[in-house]
Amino acid sequence: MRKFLLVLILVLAFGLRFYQLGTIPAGIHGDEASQAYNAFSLVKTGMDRYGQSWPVLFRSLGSYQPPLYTYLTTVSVAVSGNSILAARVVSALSGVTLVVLTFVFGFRLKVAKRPYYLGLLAAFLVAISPWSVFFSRLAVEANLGVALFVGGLVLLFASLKKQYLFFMACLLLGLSTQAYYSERLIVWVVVPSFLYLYRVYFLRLKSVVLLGILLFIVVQIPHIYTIQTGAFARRFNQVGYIESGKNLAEVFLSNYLIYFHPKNLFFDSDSGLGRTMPGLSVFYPWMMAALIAGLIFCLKNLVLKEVRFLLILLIITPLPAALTGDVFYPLRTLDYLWILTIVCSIGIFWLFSYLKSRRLIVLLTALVIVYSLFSLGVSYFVLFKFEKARYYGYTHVELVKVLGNYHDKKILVDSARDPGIGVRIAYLTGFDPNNLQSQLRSQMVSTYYSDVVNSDEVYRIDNITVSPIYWAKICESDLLVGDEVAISDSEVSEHHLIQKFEIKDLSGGMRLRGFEIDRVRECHEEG
Amino acid sequence: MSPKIIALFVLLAAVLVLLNSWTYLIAEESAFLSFILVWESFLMVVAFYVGNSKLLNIIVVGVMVVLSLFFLTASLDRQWIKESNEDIMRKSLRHEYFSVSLGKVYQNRVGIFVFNDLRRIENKLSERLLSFLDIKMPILLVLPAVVGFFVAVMRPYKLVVLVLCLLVFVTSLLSLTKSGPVLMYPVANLFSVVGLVWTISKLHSLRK
Repeated sequence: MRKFLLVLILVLAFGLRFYQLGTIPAGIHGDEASQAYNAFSLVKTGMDRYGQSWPVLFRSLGSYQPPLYTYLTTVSVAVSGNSILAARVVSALSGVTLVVLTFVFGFRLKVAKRPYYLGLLAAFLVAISPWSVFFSRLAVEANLGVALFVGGLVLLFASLKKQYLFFMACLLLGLSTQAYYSERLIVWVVVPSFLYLYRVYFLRLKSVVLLGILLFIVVQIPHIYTIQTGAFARRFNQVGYIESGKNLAEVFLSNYLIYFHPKNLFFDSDSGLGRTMPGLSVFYPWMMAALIAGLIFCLKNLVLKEVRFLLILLIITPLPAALTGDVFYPLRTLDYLWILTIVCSIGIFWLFSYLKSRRLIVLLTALVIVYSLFSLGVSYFVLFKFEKARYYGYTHVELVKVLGNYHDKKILVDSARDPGIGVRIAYLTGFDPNNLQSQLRSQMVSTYYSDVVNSDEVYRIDNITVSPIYWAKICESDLLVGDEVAISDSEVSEHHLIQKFEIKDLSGGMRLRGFEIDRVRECHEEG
Repeated sequence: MSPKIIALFVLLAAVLVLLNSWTYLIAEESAFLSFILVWESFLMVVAFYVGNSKLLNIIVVGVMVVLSLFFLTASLDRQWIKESNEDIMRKSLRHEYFSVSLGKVYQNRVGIFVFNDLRRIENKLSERLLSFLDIKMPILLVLPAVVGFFVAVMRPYKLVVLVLCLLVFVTSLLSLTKSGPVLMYPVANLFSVVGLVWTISKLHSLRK
């Protein structure tokens, strides 16, 4: 029965992450396309799209992307080609792996009498949690980062019985810093905290600890290399507020506490791209009661080292996000959301221990499951798909299909407000990486690793040029493509444009329009 | 607990009340109401630390019930269940999304009620149930209040939980003014005192 439940949870986790993965979210975000194209370029040439051999950070859209996700994506791109699905597979698999690791973590967490069921409950909560489902279906490095981080935690606890696993833990935690930015800070606090909590045990294993730390530092060498160039801190400088001139302590405290506000965690939804889905926050509303119960349990059982470690994690994990200027940005706090899910499962387990009737437990569980899956299904697989398509470049994915009919035309696609359009089209059309490398390399305004990274590159993909529209030069093209802001109605009449096609996004909003230029009237060519 | 110590806690509550900008915000709207709420705060502190006084408990709950009834008659929000223009627009857009995605599962009376109306009511209800969190306390008092909440809930004295649940429910039915959920004021003060006392005692025991 227990094994059957575990299999059922894994099937559910797999289904929620892989069902229509290539079509929901509808489209492909610029960051997703960037990683996927770099993976494609690596497979074909051994270099990224800027012609850099096996980078330790991937230059992308004015910043850098941590390398691990892209390297792992080479496998899916090599196997299934340049599809949206291939870009997201690593993240979806990371999500399923996280469910397995959560089961093992909960199972080893000695805070309940029946740890197997606590493991099952924790795994189930991660499997259905809106935050986990949402980010597992996007090609985001953070989801790989949290899986590696939790893998490291599992091995840290396992090393209390088998000391050699400490090396593996250090290796995984080190790798997690190559997967996402948040872990670069968190891991440096988590490992010493763990060693301190279990100091009596680890003081007897000094050589093991030293070797483990040495291994961890070896994995950090790429960071040390990029620190000198300015590339390491480029992203932080972009999203941080240190140079904003604000009262840093005040901003930090307010940004930090935001991550503990119940409204943000359980009720607020849908206010931006980096959050979750319409009608649902990062957790289900009912999980608030579970979290309160879990926190009460933890405070009551502070003597347990596992509980103290969990509370340390709870305090540490929102720190990286609090150092950035965005207000409540779940993508940067997946480790924290995972810890909260664990505390929720402890809370539920504890509350259930007060219920004597097994029937009542089954009934309550069934109700919560039905409600949660219903909410998730409606919010994600219907509302999110339609209402958020504009954030994922759905119209540009459709555009690639439409432009197939205009092979003989010189096409200019506007990219003034979305620098990811070029790489998106390059990925979906499977454009020759050698060609793109020579184009982009020559447009770099600084060395590959630098604290100055431009994002204004022009992409020339066969007959398609992707760049902002300069109205004085439109006669160099036959067809102009842009949204209503790029090509307004007044510009249509002023520049004698003839509409050839229109692509609406799934919500019926944000339209992309293609216009042919009346060359006789606009460019004064003879008819 | 000795009366002297309880008196000390009430003194602490008085200091916190004076430091709390929310007190002055409420006083601006109604000096009488703020007076009652401040005294209710002191009563709650005494009742919490005395623990087993029936008379005190009855007075604490009685005052809160009277205040709740007063607010329910004076500022009950009857509009929240009604659909706003924004709701109607969203509903018509989502009607299409549901029709395309769910087909016959949606295109019937029950489906339309569940996917549109029930979900809207559920969202509004949870939004309103959270209105008690819009307390106007300074952040430095919120932190001990959060600690105090957990300390109070862990105690065997369960009256606090009962009063809290009642107030959360009543607050969710009210239309709030710029003073926020004023009914939560005494409980918030109590939690601040409890949290601060707990923190000080923990620090004291650590020093020993």
